[in-house]
Amino acid sequence: MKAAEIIADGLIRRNPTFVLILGMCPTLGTTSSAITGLGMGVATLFVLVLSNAAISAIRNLVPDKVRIPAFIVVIASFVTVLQMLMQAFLPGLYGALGIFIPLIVVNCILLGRAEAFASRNNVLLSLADGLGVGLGFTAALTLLGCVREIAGTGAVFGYQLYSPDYGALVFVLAPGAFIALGLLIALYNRMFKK
Amino acid sequence: MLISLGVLTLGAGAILGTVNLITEEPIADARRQALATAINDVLPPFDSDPATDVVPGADGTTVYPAYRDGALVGVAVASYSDAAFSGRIEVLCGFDADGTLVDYRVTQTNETPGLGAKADGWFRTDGADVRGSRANLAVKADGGDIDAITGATITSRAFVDALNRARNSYNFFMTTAR
Repeated sequence: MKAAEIIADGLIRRNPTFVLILGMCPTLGTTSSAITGLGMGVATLFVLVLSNAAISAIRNLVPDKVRIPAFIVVIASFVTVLQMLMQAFLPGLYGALGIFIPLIVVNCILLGRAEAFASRNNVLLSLADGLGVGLGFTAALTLLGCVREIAGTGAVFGYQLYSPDYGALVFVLAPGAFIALGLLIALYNRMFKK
Repeated sequence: MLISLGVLTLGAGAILGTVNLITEEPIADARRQALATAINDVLPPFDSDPATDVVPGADGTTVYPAYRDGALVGVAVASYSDAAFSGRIEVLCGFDADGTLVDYRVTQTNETPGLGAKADGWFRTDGADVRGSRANLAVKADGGDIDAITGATITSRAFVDALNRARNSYNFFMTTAR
């Protein structure tokens, strides 16, 4: 399989959010607006690409018995690096994403890709896989954030589309997250599944 | 097994230590910057550096007095309330030397997006404007004259609670601590 194919695979055919239904906690928690959804997606993309590459690079040095703890160490390190960098250089976004950044460590997408792909393929392909799945996650979170923010407040990315008085506040709250996600998954299946 | 795990954790520790060394200073800078900006926003013009001139206030608050040409022009109080809907809400309140509330900034909140999270703008709107107040406040549901945020009375109460705590701390600073 070529790298481009792998990227497209992660983005569409095995989209982590709409097809695999993985990483639901950050998906539902951070998508109350488009910008926080996008921020969470990019943060996860960053960690996923690096951790996939690192795990692929050390895959022959780590004994099978301890591979899970080794993966966790790698993933947790990158997440902590990301957290410190964001705190230093993007304090605004860090404030908005808050608790969800450390929780990237336990996002099952990362461990899933490490176990299913990076520990069996070379560094280049693992990079491509991380990029594809990460982009798929980012696209899904941004889309869900847009839908919720538009339906809930009438605005998206700072542009007011219609008066916030007509927004259905439920879409910004937790129940709306489930409703919007369910509808998007249905739409996705309609479009891409035969 | 032990060796590979040991080497891995050592490597991870080294990377984390390096990044921490690099980001420590910018993180502290960003915090200081955010505080200085907020203080600037809530006080009348001053020429001292209140962010470094810290006085402990009453009831766990922090007081930042601001001076112009050596005279006190205002006091910013970093106040808080634990009565909010979700965790602690922190509000930076600016008072001028007469005790009038000049402005405020919600500096930390976990309130519901779309409801309680509106606090930073809501209390500048008609019927809920707290700026210019000179005494302790209460929302209408508690017999005061401040409109609560629609659908977020608990957040509104907590916000007013933080404001009143700031005013008490201000009074404490003006009468005793100064």
